Formats: sequence, structure tokens, C-alpha cells
Amino acid sequence: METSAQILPGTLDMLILKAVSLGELHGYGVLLRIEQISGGALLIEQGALYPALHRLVRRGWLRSRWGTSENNRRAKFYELTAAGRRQFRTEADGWNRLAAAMGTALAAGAEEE
Amino acid sequence: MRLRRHKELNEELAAHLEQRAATLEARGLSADEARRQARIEFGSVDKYAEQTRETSGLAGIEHAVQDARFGLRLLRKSPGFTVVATLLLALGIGANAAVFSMVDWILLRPLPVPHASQLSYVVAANTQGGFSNGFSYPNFSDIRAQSGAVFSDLAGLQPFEMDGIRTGGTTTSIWVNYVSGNFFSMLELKPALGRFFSSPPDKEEQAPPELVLSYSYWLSRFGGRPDVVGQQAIVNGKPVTIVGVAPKGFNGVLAVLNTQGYLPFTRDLAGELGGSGDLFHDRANNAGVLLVGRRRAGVSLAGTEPLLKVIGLRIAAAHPKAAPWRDLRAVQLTSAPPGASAQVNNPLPAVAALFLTLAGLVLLLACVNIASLLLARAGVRRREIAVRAALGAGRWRLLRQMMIESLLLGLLGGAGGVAVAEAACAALNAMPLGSGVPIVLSFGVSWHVVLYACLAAVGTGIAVGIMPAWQASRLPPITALQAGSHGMASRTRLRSFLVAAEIAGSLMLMIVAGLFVRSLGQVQHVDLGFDANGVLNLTLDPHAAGYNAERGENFATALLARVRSLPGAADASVAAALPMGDYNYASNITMAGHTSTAGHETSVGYNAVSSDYLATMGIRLVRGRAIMPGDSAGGPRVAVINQKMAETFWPGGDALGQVFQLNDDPRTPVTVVGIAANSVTDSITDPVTPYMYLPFAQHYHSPVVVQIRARDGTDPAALLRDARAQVETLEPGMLIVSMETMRQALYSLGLFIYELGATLAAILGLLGLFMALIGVYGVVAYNASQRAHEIGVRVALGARRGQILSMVLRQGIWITAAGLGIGLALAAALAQGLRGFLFGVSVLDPLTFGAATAILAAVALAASVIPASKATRSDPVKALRCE
Repeated sequence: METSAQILPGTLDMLILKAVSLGELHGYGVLLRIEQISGGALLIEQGALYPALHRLVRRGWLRSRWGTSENNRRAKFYELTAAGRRQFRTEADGWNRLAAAMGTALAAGAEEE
Repeated sequence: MRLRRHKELNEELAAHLEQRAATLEARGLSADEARRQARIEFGSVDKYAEQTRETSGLAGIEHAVQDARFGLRLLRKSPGFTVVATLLLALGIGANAAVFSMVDWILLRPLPVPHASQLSYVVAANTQGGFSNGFSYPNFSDIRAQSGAVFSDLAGLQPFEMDGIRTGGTTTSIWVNYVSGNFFSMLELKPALGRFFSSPPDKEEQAPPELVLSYSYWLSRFGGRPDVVGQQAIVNGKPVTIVGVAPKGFNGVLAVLNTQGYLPFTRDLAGELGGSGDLFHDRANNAGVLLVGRRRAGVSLAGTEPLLKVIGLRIAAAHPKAAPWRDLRAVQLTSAPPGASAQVNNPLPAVAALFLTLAGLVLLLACVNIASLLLARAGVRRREIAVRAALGAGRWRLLRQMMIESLLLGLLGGAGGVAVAEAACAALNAMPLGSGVPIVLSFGVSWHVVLYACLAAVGTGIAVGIMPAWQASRLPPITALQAGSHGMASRTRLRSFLVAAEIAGSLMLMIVAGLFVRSLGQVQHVDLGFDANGVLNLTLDPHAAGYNAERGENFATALLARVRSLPGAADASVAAALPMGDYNYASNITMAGHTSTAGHETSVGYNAVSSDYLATMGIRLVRGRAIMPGDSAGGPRVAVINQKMAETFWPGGDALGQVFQLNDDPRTPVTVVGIAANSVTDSITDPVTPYMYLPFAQHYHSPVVVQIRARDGTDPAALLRDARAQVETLEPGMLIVSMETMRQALYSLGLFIYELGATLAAILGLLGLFMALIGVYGVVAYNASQRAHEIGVRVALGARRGQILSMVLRQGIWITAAGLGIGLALAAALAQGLRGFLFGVSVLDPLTFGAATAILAAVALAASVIPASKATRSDPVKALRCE
């Protein structure tokens, strides 16, 4: 994965919300989904997922329940709450504006040699 | 106890690792390799678990529980530290709680009546700047009638008379208050049984003679029988009707004294009230009526002042002779009387403040000691803290850990303190007062003070725990781990300062204790002027048993004759008063050629005694003769005076044969027939005053004390029993007030309070010494252990034992010397406040100051020698290798 990038600080929450917005997932599932939707381009330190997941639950953006995973193991599943969905839209809009602005700024004018 | 969330998180993380391993295994890794790889990818499980826990809501509680468990484990692991710290706190807190409960009992506890804070005494400020609290009945009546604007009600009482009560055949003593008819309604009390007095103010004189019993007396004397209401009883020979029982817990306005019954101001009983004239109409007859008023709602103590001033001036203007005051004022009512005798200036608050200060000092020492111990432990634990920091514990987490340990110590100490205080209070309650006066002893541990002391201890612990924790947590873990246990000079300095402060405080405690103990010694060895050994006292009260003066005197004479013939009696006599006793008599005297300006200077104390009195008491007759059997009621009036009286009234001349008059019988000359050696009469600590002995046959008093000097080898108890048998044969209805040896009487009357003070002070002083011992030992031992490496090097390089010893000792000696210097200065300042409490000892008594300093220095030296000599014996190889 030579093209993979360390994620920016503060963007992990948004990625988790995006991953979960596509359907209920357990922790490892969130990791796989992020890898999948980013085409393996984003590297997440796996352990860092859990403080973030619990933080989002505490803020009321995710809710969790215990269920059974694909390989029949007890696992904790996360799903988006209504507040989480709103939060994700706000954050995604913000990010898109920022990304667009950054792209415009970087593309503008001739580069000095 | 592990919290559920904790377990769930572990399970969640384990599930993640397992799933990842399964994925990796599917990509072709071996099972072991897959698990290993999954762990590596995950990162530090502990770190993320910790972070996750911190983000979830219950983390705080979860951590506190963990910290507490860890703290308890640590405390268990160093039992020495835990036991010493708990003991120190327990003693400090216990001593404070015990002293505070005494203060609470004497000064603070409100009277068990509704709205006790509205109650106040009314006292008179006299022209000499003092106060007096006793009024004549007419003055009381006028003040009550005129003060309605500020007092919703004002009652009068004459506190604490001992009367005799006869129900059925036997006569016993009962301590009563004589009170105005509105006494109970003013206090807003409801009777437990029957009713209270009901006469309105203008009908008080005609009130029926009635008796209200206290609840505890009703239980003990009448077995709590309800049919006691309506019964007749004979009080001091006069019939009264028992009409009611006061509520439980109410022991009178002077709550410290156990009032057993209440009688009304009434003409029928007026003869029993103090004063010599007509109670109800003689305004100049100060019968010592105390005034207690209930202030109207919204009227403060100061708010009563203007009106009381006006009333005082009005009465004084109308009756200048009978109202000898400057003005009137109100004083808040507490359970202690306004002044032991007749003044408002009460010594009890000063005594209370002194002992609270001393106990507070003990607690302070305990806290300083624990602070010092915690500092030492923080040094030892630096490595552990560094390891925990390296493993991912946050700084706040480390700080909190230290504080929770302090809190645990505070709780342990607090629990121990309550136990110590309970034991101390039980010991105080069981104190043999040996006093004839019934005193309510009900010391109880005050929860307020336990709470306060625990907070103080915990607060100190936290304050001191923070600094080393902060220091340790700030260092990069790697530095702390490498540094081992060296360095930290600033902490050593702080500890040295704490121990010096401790020695100073301890020296102060010991000096105060020493001064009290020396006072007790002085009091015990004071020359009483009489020989108390072998003297027995049998106090009887013919008046309270209903006998008139003639019958009472005949009884005394007959009894004396019988007692003298008892085989064990060497001498026997009759007297009206005991030295330092409950009853003291005085009379104003006049004589030709002696004029005095201030009235009280001619008041001379006296005792009425039978023949053989001086022999029985062992008082030396200096000149002339003693009182003889011939000094009868009809004979010429005579007096034996003490040397002080002779010197005062006939200075330079011969008192023998001189004549003076007693003011209540101004026409009859009294001739001085003998001069006796000075002896203690009023109080051990007061200087000798002029005193005279008058013939009992010419001056009858009741109660009367029959005194017997036992022959050598006689059992005093048996002799007292024989004497009592004689009383019962002679007059079966006689009231026997007390039977005791003169030694016992002296103890309860004069020595008890000094012994109590000395004992309390000595206990506090020993506690202080103990604290200093631990403090010095701790700091020297700690420093020696810190320098073990250095000492090892020195020994290896050939330093001799003596050199090492003096090197380690030097520090202990410096700290001790500094502490002693500060302590001496502070003690000298504190001792100035003791002036009023000491007897026969200067407040800067060199012996006390010197001995306390020497003892403390010796103890501190011994405390430093032990760890120092241990350090010199250490094996240098071991010391060097252990790093």
C-alpha cells in the first residue's frame, strides 16, 4: 500500500460516521469498511478506533448493542442515530467546502520555479 | 469489584483482535503469526483501553474505585507506615474530639428548652466595673414588671440550695431551685406529669407550697410512679405538695448542675431562701435571685440595652441604697452560670480556649508528621510513579491516586479518632468527682469535631500529597527511572523544616504540661496549716431535716459526746464549715480605733466551732486559749482569731484581750481570747485572709460537720460507720449529707481541678513528645537510607564508623536545635496566657523549661542515633551493588 496516507487529525470521527451510515457495523467491521470505501488509501491505527467509537456513543451520535458477528462471535455493533446523521451531514458539508477551497487555492496561478 | 463496562470493553477489543487474526489467517498466515500480526497492527491494547475508558462516562468512578483498591493494597503492603499514620491521626483527632466535647458540655450546649437562643440573664454592672447577678426580690419584681417591651417574660430563680426531703420515714437531701411562679412558662416547658406552678406575679407571695420534681430524680427516688403527683412531702420540716414532674433532660437552667426539684417563691418557704430579712418586701435584702428572661422575637441582646439602662437608672434613683448598681444589662444564657460566684467574668471560656489550643496543637503535630511521612514515601515511590507514567497513566490520574491514598488515611484516622474520643469521654464520665454537689456528667463525642478533624487531616494529606506527585509526574519517566532514588534536595529541606516545626510544637506542649504538673505538685505540698490525715467528716443538716435551732444544737452536743466516747476517736469536735467547703461564713466587724474606707475590708470569714476544734484539726494555737466547753450560749462572747487577723487589725500591738463587735449584734462586745496559726480556709491558691473561730454554742449553723480525729491504726471507714450508728440512734430522721475523710474532701474541693488540669495537660504533652519522636526518627532514617549509596562509598574508601555516625547525626541535631529554639520562644509567649491557671510556679519556670528541653533533646537524639548507627553498620558492597 505504497499510496496510503495517514489520516488528518479530526477526520477519524467523520470517517466512522460515514462508514456506519451505510449500515450497522461492529468495530472491526468499521475498520474494514473504511479501508474498502477509501480503496485502501487511508491508514487507521486500529486501536485508535475504539476511543473514537466510545466518544461518538457518548455524544449521542452512535448507539451500540451486542450482537453476533459473521463468524458467530459476540461483538458490539454500532449504528447511526438521527443526531449522528445530522452531524455527519454538517461535517461532510464542511469538509467538502474546505476540500474544494483547498483544491482551488492549490490549482490557482503559475508555480514559481 | 470490576465494573461491567470494563469487562465489555475488554471483550470488544478481544473480538476485534480475533476477527483481524481470522482475516490475516485467511490471507495465508499461520494461526500464531496471524495473532501476533493482529496485535502489532492494533497498537498498545492497554493504552487504547485506557483512552476509551476515559472517554466513557463512568471512567471517573471506575478510576476512583481502582485507585482506592490500589491505595488499600499499598497501605496493606507497608503496614508500618499505615499503623503509625493511623495512630497519629487517631490520637490527634481523638484528643480534639474529647476536649471539644468537654467544651461543648460546659459552654456550648444549648439548654433543652424551646428557642433557647432567646434566653438571657439580666445582670447588674456595679460601680467597681464588675458584675453581680443576684437581686433582691423587690428589685426582681420591678424589673420584671417594667421590661415587658423587650422580654416576653422574665423569671427569677435562686439556684441550687440543698434541702432535706422526707417522704415516708427517711430524710434525704435534694438539690432544689427556688423559682418565681412564671419560671416554667417563661421556659415554654410542658410538664412530663402533673402541672407546674400557676401563681401570677402579684400572687407569688401567697403561692401554695408546691414541689416540682426533675425527671431523673422522679425516676431514681420515686421509681417513676405516676401517683407521686398529689403526694405530700416534708421539705426542711415544712409540708409541700408534689404537683408535677419536669420534662426529661431538663436539669435546670444551670444544666451542668443536676437540679432535682423546684419550689416556688412563697411566704410559706421564704425562710429557706437566702438573705436575712423579709424576702418579699425588704429591697435591701439581696437574696441572690438570678434573672432569666426570654427576649421577644426580633429583639437582640443589644436591643435590650436601652430599656434595661432606663429601668436600672429608675430603680437606682428611687432606692439609692437598695439598688447598688451602675446599670443593668443582658448576658446570653449558656449552660454555665454567669460566674461561679457573683460575677459575669467566667474563667471557663479561658480554660476551654487553652485546652482547645493544646489539643489543636496535637492535631497539627499529627498532620505535620503525616505530611513528613508522605513526603518520604513519595521519594521512595518515585520509581513506581515513573513506571506508571511510562505505562500511560496521565498526570491527573497520578495526582488523584496520591490524593485518594491521603483520603483513605484520613478515613482510617478518623475512625480511630472516634474510638479514642469515645474511650476518653467514657473515662471522663466515670471520673470520680467526689463532690457533694450533684453534677451532670454527659460528655459525648461531637460529630462536628470529628468531621472537622478528619477534614483537616485529609486536607493536609492532600496538600502535601500533591507536591511530590506533581514533581514525580512532571519528570520525563526515563529521567526518573534512571535517577533511581537520588536527588530531591528540596523535599529533604521541606521535611527538615516540618520536623523542626514539630519539635517546636511538641516543646510548647511539654512546657505547658510541665507547668500544670508543677502547679499540682505545689498545690499538693502547700502547707494547709492543719493536719488533714486521720480526720473524718460527718456532715449533717438538722435544719433540712426540719429541726429548729435549739433542737439542732442539742442534737449536735449530744452527738459530740457520744462520738468522743467511741474507742477509735482521739479527738472530736463540731464545726459549721469545712476548709474550702461548700459553706463559708463571714461577718462584718467593727472595732474601736479601726476605720476602713471600703466596706468589704471589714468582712471577716469565720467558722463556728466547739471545744477541741483546733486539736481535732491539728491547727496550732499560738497564744491564749482555744474555744472551751465553758463558752456557752449564755456566757461572754469570745473569739479565737488567726495570726493574719491579729496582724491586720492590731498591727504592732497585742490582739489578745482586744474587743470588737459583730455587725448583726453591735451591742455585744466580743473578746479575743486566743490566736491560732494561719491555715487555709477558702481556697488553697488564695493568700491567707483574716479569719476567726467563734463558739458554736453562741453561733448555731446548719449544716453542721462533726469532725473526728482517728487514733493511729483505726479503720476510718469503720469509725465513720460507728459514728453514723450514733446519729441513727439519737435522731433517726436526721439528714446525713456526707461521710468522708478529710483527704477525700480536700481532693474534691481543692485538688481535683488541678489534678484534672495536670492530667489532661500531661496526656497532651506526652502525645506531643511521641509525635516529635516519630518525626525525628522518620526524617533521620529516611535521609540515612537516601544516602546509603554515599555512605557505602565512604565506608569503602575507609571512613571510620564514628565519622559516618556524626555525619548522619549532625543533620538530626541541627533540626532539633532549631526546633527547640523556636519552641522555647513560642512557649514563653504561650505561657504568658497561663498566668491565671498556675499556682506557686512562675510562668517562665526555669526547671520546667529546662527539663522539657532536655527531655525532648534526649528523645530526639535517641531517635536519630538508631537509624544513624544502623547506617554505619551497612555493608558497603551491598549498598553499592543495589543501584
